[in-house]
Amino acid sequence: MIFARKYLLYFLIIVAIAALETVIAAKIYPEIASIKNDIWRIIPSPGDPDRNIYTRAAVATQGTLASKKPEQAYFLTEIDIEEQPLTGSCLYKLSGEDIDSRWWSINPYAEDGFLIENSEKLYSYNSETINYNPTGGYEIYFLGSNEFITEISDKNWLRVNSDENFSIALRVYNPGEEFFSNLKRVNLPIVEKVRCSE
Amino acid sequence: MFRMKSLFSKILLLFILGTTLHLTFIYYYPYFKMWQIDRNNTSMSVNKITHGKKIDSNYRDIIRPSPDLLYSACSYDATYSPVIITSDVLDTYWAMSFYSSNSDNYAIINDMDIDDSNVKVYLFGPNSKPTKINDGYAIFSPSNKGAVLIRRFLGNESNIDELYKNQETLTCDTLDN
Repeated sequence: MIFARKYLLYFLIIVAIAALETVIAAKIYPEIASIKNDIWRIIPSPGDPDRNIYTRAAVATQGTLASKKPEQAYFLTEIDIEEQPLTGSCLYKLSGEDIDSRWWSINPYAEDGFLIENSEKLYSYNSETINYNPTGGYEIYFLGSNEFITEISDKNWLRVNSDENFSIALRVYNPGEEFFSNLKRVNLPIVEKVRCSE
Repeated sequence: MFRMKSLFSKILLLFILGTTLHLTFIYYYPYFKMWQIDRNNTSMSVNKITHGKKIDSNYRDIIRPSPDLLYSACSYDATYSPVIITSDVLDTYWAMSFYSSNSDNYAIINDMDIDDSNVKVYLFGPNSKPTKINDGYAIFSPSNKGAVLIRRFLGNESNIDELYKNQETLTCDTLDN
């Protein structure tokens, strides 16, 4: 009995070590595997067969059927330019310029990584649906509260959940090899906080 | 001194076994996710196409789906025979991505790679005998099982009927059938 108890304890210690290492890896590995470009993070070729087991596991957690380069570049941000988390209680403005590619799209995700329910049934803007401003750039507003609608109703805007944080994905399709060799410096949109609910 | 050594060896052994268990979990996790995707698509029997509708907030199968794409998928099994995939190809962005059982994206072809208005792909498993192909692409899967995902750009949705019709042109079947 004592013998069995001893080995059960060893087994639990082994499982605890494995669980601890997995939790640590889940926390730090997406950061290590990613390239940062200002507020945006990207795993350069998330579907690549040559990726290591940690990248493969990290991608499986965040978007299982990812493409390898140069098909698609997939950027994600959870922060604004002041490095504060994007929260549904504030109004944000994303400003950018057209990206040299086949097409691109921008959309927010809820904390669970899925699309955000909205009565407008509008989940994203892409290079064909965005309303460009006269200088060729564009802005997209993200809001969780109806109190901001009057000031942005004639602009590009997307709804987020008011009571939680959110993330923004930027997908760029067929941008070319040069784009991938310059991921840290390519010109990407910025996201700034306009104001928050009182 | 001997006791100290024995204790150190024990701790080291537990740590090595814990790390081995951790690495095993990390290695097999993508396989589990692929199995989970396959299981969630209850209508997706082997070598049969499943067509997605325009994705909205009710969609829960795969995390971070793109609302700008219309998907189709085929969960393939090339163990006993190559799988033949055919489809019409669109003028707008259209891509066929091939994923092995551990979620590696080992091949992609898109509309820019294809000169014709339709495509035929012979998908060979790791044990398949090489065959000369004259009327399509030969793609070699590193695993017997996996998934093919077709992505179509919705754009401003002016051609959404054409995209839905394109879904219907897709076939995914073994060479034997």
